[in-house]
Amino acid sequence: MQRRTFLLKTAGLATLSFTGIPSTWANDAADTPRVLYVLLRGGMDGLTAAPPIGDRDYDQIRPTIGIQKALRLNADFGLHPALGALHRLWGEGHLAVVHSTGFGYTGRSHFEGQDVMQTGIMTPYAVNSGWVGRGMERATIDSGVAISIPMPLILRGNTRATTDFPNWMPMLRATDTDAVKKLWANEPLLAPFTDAIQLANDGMQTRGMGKEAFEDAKSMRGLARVAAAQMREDGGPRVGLIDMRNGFDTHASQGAEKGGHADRLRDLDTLVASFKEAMGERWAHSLVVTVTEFGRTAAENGTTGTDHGVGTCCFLAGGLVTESKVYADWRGLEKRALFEERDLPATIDINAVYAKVLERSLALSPTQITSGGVLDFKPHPALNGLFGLG
Amino acid sequence: MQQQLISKFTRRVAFGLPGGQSLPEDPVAWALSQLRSVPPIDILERDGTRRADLPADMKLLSDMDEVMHAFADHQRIEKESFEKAKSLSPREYEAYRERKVGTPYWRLEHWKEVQARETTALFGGAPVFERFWHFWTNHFMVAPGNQNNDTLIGPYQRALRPLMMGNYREMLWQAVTHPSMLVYLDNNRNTGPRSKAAREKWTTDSINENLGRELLELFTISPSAGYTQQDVEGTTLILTGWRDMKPDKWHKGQRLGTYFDFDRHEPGSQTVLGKKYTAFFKPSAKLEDLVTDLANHPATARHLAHKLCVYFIDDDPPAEAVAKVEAAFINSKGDLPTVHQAVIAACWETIETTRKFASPETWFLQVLTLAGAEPPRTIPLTREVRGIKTPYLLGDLGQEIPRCPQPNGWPIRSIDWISKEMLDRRLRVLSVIGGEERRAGRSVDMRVKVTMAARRDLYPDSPALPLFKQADMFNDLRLGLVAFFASPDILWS
Repeated sequence: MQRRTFLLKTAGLATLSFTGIPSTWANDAADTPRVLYVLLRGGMDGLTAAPPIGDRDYDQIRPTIGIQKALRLNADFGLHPALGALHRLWGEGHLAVVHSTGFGYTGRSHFEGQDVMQTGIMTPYAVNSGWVGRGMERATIDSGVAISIPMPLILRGNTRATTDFPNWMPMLRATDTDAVKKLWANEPLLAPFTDAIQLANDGMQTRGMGKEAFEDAKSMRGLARVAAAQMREDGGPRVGLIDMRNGFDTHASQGAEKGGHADRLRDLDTLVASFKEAMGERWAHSLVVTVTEFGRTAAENGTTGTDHGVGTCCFLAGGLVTESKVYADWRGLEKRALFEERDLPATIDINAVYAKVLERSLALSPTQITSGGVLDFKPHPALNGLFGLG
Repeated sequence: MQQQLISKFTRRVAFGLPGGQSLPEDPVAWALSQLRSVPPIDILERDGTRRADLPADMKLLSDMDEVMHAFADHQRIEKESFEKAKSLSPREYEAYRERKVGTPYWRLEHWKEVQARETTALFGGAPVFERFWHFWTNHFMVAPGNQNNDTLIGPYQRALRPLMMGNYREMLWQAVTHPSMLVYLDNNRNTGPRSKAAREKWTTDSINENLGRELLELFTISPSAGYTQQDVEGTTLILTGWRDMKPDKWHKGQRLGTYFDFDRHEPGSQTVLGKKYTAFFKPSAKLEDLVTDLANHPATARHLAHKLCVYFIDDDPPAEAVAKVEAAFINSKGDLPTVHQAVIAACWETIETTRKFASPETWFLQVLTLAGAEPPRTIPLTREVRGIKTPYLLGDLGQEIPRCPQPNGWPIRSIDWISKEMLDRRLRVLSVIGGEERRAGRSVDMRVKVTMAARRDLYPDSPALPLFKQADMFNDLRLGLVAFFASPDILWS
């Protein structure tokens, strides 16, 4: 009861329902890591998000959509101007960018790519569990929450992960949830959810949520707060997930400093800033990780956009990042340096980056990660030192 | 037992039958009788007539001229509205946008198409046909995108209905060359690099692979056929120049709708799957030939048979069922009524050992059908109109028709519709529907229908039966609705 009161007071989300969190979490200390995964569906254009300002071919292959007013990171790379909060984190020493990275999958299909980015397995549709879900299972971590209506594949493989999303509808009564427990007692696919449903309906919201409160709760800021309100708690979920469902697939008129791609990056920036603010002291032990299925063609296409490609960039932001740095094995943007002469190559296997995230946040060794069937990856020396790991 | 299996079948291939109605003695014949002709679609009352309280000018557009004018108007008004940002205060601008664009396009356009789809499923008399139509609109997904195509989606989806009586090649052709698809997957800008328009620099557009890739991946042979990037590029070049013609400054008396722009088409021949496509006199015929070849490719039959069986039978459908549907497709050269018939037969043959967990939309329609209820009636004539609107209620359940996030359509597997949040929402929405019926003065009718449906459809050992005795439908409707609609007997079909 105390926990709920606390949530209601601090988050200003008095009308939201929360997934309940069992009271007996093992080994959760004030410095136990928290990781928020952000799915950027559609294929984020790494050359727009983190433009290689030092590459002499960049302006030439991107005459219309190249970023001219990048926020400087170092002599070679910048950030898109919509990523102001990320740039401030860079100044604080808490932003790592991995560039020219991607999955070993090169089929350029959204659907296969979004399967691969979540399963971590380079053959599409091979398994029904995700690499984060398997990592949680391997590390016997109980608590994950996806701020989503469906359960994203990336968190599956662990029956304790749950979903939560702002909902205006009136709550169920105890009579109703008791009935559901009885009905689903022998249903292996449904029974695991009855406790969480009961806890989510254990509150005062019997009349439903007002329109404005509901709209606010669904915004990027609102979703980040829903995630943080649970994750910052002692005993709260150690893994969170926000699914930015669309918008990165910019085949046409993607814009540069302004435009469609810029708007999505601003959403990402708002999300990170809001999460940081709402996590409070826990931010020092937190990490936000981006996951996208692929990058886009290096050169702009004929419709001032970009088509499906391979390599992109990955953002790692938060207190768990020990040093602001761009990690890259950059081969340049000349045609012969590109993958199949068109895409930014994935010179660093992104699974190796995610393996580091699992290593740092779930205390899994690289051997436990690979031999445990969590994630296969090709190590890359450029990643040495990420999160202060070897 | 037989009775419960027939009930399960009516929910599997349709939305079940209203409580109080008796089940068909020959379920296969019952289903097939609904697939013989194309039922009209409109926003309907319970008795199947067009809803009487709609504004006079609210109609579903079908005529291509009207559709393309509406589309051009929407695009133009959106564009003009951005200009107003300079001269209006933020508040005035928001109100202006709402009046000009929000209400007519985002809300009313969306509402009328969804309301027609849902009320026709409930009251149109051929729910089995509607289930197959839902399948095909999901297969050939077009959703609102960044080109303000809201007005194109409904007309496009409804245009697929008569094509369900023909063969797959014709449906594929109409879907791929419909302006709605050409706009949604950016083919309206797909331009050959050696085309006249590119060489003479009339346009800066060049190739765009979006539609070419989906034509192979989603609509026909699927990646399991093992095509290459070269095949995607060949398909893309064959698609260059296929675009939408709408009444704008470029429109010079051309017919509105689909338009093959010779000047944007890549000349010469292209190769796809090892076959060379050449047309000296009629370059548009290259796409006709390619679509014919893809529709008749054995990998297409396999892909579609499997997809139909996952959608209608089980996440892991029995191999014999898939083989029968595949054989029906191949032997009939893609005759869709024959294929649908094979799916119905396979559903009934395997009904005892297979199961599906319905999508939110299908489940919503099951609830309304069994309980004799209807979707919320509120018409969003302005943003301020209070009340529950059907499209957004579907969104709350996790499936905001037709706003599918991706071109591969909504998930077709059961497993993708099960999460804590989705289950919680299904349970809560029962109270919302019950409340709407109560306000309309129909809660007694609902209690009677649910009681009779429970008597007819629940298995003798159902865990819902003891709850029913406890609930006493006439005292506690909410618990009664939960007991019936959350029972595994009804959730799985």
